[in-house]
Amino acid sequence: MSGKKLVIDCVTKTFSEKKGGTSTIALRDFNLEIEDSEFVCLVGPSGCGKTTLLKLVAGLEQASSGSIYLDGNPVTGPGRERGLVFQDFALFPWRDVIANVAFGPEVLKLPLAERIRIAEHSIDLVGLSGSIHKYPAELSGGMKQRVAIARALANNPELLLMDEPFGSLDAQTRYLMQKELLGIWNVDRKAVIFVTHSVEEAVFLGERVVVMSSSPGSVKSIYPINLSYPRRLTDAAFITLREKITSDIAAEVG
Amino acid sequence: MVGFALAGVTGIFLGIIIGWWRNARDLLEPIIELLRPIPPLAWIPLAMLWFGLGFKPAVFLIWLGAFFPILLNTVLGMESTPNKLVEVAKTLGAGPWQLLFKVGLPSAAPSIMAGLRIGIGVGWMCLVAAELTGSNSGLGYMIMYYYSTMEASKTVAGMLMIGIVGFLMFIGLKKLEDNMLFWKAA
Repeated sequence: MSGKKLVIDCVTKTFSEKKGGTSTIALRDFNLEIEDSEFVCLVGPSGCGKTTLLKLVAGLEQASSGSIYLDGNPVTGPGRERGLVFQDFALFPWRDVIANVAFGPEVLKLPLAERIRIAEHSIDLVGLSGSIHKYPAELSGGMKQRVAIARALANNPELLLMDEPFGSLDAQTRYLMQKELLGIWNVDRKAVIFVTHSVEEAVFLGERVVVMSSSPGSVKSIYPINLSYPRRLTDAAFITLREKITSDIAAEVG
Repeated sequence: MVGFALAGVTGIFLGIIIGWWRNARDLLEPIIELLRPIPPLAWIPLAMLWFGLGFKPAVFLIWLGAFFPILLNTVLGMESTPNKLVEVAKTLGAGPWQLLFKVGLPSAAPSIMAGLRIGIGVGWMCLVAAELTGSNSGLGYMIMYYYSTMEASKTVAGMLMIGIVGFLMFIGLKKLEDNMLFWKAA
């Protein structure tokens, strides 16, 4: 396991229904290894367990069998070294931007000056310095997602878990956010697991694209994306890869 | 005021416990649901037996009237804390107490405030009801007194006073609420 940032070893997750006693297998024998500072995108048909996988890695759910290791240590619960960004932002509506971002340092009981310094740095990174005292209700979708990303970054996580973070944004904002995310990743070099249902987004962002098969979810195929950043959506190589992965997923659904 | 403050403290405290921990809920809810349907007015005789006449039974009745709306709204508010926020707080490193105080409570605050607002109204009604029957001072007593001397205008004046005081308390709480929950408005 040396050198690997994250190892997902033969993970199975079953959800048992409370009534009737039937159970659903969300993931079966899922294996994946992620390198230090690698950007991995996860695509697959809806309901294939992408979100379940992220929750397992985040420690919010426990695997039914198999193990997950971060830097060689088994994951047993949620922890600050794994930052999570949801599609619907999940900002604390009663906190302004800076207080949202400072949540991590705050629960760590860092001194106030330190919290502010860290939060301001993170907010700077996502380009929201002008709005630090605004409340979530006053922000646009793109801004909210920036806050959520800044909040995750403020904890200086080893691994950033992103669950369709740009799924609810309009196309323009989405494209902008993708480029900004790559910019941040370039500076920070965190390992990222990015879940999306858009193949284009996956090929645009990821160093590797993992295609999942559905019910029960497992790794179907892995595509290394050997295109240099910044990628262009109109490159012939880009389009070829996109089509290949799209038909791969389509075969899975059909 | 004492009764209302007591109701606020006990109602919110119990509400947090019941709304946040499932076990506490299973244990305490049947007891509460048994006591809740009994109208505060039905407690007046018992209150007088326990506490005699005057200040103490009034405090008890106000507490009783205000307690349940505050309790139930607190429970509701705590229970409806969005799971996403709890999860995100966990991944940011929050411990169980931090989850309660930094996520659950602020998230339940609007609901708790609504409970206080309803509670103060019910409490005020109970106070007047208590004065009507078991007291020798206060607005309720005043109404009954002028009723016995057949002075309708002063009876009406007493009723209006009750309305006005209730209204002022409502305004006061609303102001407090607007200050505390400004983040909801925007």
